[in-house]
Amino acid sequence: MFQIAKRFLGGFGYNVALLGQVLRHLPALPRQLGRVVQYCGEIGYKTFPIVGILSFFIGAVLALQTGFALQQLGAQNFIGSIVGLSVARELAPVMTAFLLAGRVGSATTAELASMKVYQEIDALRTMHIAPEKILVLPRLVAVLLVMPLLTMFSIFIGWLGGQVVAEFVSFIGLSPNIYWRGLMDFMTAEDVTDGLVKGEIFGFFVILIACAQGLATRGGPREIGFAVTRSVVIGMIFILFTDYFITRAQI
Amino acid sequence: MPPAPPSKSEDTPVRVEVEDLEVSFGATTVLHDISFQVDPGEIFVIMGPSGSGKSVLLRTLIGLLAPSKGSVTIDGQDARNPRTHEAVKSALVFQAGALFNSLSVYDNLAFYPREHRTAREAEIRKKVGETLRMLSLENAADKFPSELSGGMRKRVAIARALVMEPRLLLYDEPTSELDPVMAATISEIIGSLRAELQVTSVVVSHDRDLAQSIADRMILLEEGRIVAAGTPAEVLESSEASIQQFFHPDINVQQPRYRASLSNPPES
Repeated sequence: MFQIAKRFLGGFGYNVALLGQVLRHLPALPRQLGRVVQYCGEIGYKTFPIVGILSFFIGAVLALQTGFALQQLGAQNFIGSIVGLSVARELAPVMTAFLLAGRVGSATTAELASMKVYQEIDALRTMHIAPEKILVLPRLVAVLLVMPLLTMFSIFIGWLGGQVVAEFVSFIGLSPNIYWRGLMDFMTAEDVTDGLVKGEIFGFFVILIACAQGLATRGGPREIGFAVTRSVVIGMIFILFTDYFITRAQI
Repeated sequence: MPPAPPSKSEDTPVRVEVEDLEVSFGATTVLHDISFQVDPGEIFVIMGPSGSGKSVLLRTLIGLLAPSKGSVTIDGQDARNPRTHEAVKSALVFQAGALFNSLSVYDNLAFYPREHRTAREAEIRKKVGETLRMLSLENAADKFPSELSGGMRKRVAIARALVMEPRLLLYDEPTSELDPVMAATISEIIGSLRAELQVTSVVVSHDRDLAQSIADRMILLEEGRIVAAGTPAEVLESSEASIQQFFHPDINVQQPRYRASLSNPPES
């Protein structure tokens, strides 16, 4: 138990220290803009298609489940509002962050861990170049720029998935007009911004954890795989853990 | 932020001083009471068998590891301060090269001047081209590290260090895993670089031929302690049995018991 607590605190401390080092290099950001653009492209390229597919089916399944229950009460008109709120406030930011951890977080950890194992990180240090400046800072800035777009995209596609099911599944048969009116009547701009804020927080820390796990890798090539697994698992636990507290603060 | 050390001349080789150095990892002490001095422009070789602490010593000299006790200074400045290394442009040639695998050979060499903006792109192109020519690597410029042989990787690693225009150049096992011809080429390169660039060089190796051919002075490490120091001839002539065993493993200095028992099996 003591060892687990020690490891947890050690890992937490390493993440905080890494964040501190990244912030120290913030004045060098203008010279890292090329890398920021490159990482924006990579994050978008890796995540947008899968976020689209997943979000569509999440919205669709949500509409199917709620539609089945609500049609027995004759309250299908509320499907839009239920799908709208659930997707915007909860499902879109959480699922997008999960996908980010799985696709981008794992690739980031694998890349940095491999650079660490094959001494490329040491080589950078001996060339008087801080890895935090060129490998971590641009990634964190990139995820802050891309995450709102990804979450917004996920929200919209999720709503669309709900509408398709509500319209074309025979036992629901809700017209698109009623679906969208129901959704808009219950939704406020704050619901969407709350979702975007969540996505931003999740994305930032998922990439910070991924970078920390990569840079903390020691030993041989076998450790790269372990580091990737740790990165994804810790990232997902972090998302679910903080989600509760952010939701609590937002309500 | 520690203050930047005062720079002496931009192009003079540097002096390295190590005093009572001790390096520990947890409860394990890897280096004990190490003291030596490397004079400006000298080629100083650190020798010893595997596990004797050579690479740990080298990583401490370049500031990748912090001493537990004692001090390392470069031109009088603390080697733990990254700015000391930045000021003297110390460079390390890694044992396995540590080349950036996602970059071509050309981009590996151009990485330092681009990141530090020490020159414009045209000047970088000229400098990289000259360095590639110096090490006979002109035809490898567009290749990636995975496409290179072991000897070429070592030469690219040396070339990448040279582009930094270092005043202190450290080599970690520069001839390991190379055939004798390539090892001789690398030792020639190290010698000629000192002659041409007047750089202070510290070479870690367990290659006796390399040490004898290039070293001005050397130390021999064993289990983290210096067991012999001086010119290669002085170290070679040392009467210590362990040193003789290291330089002449074919001579059975200590007459291990198992050999004696093989030649004269004990009577039961």
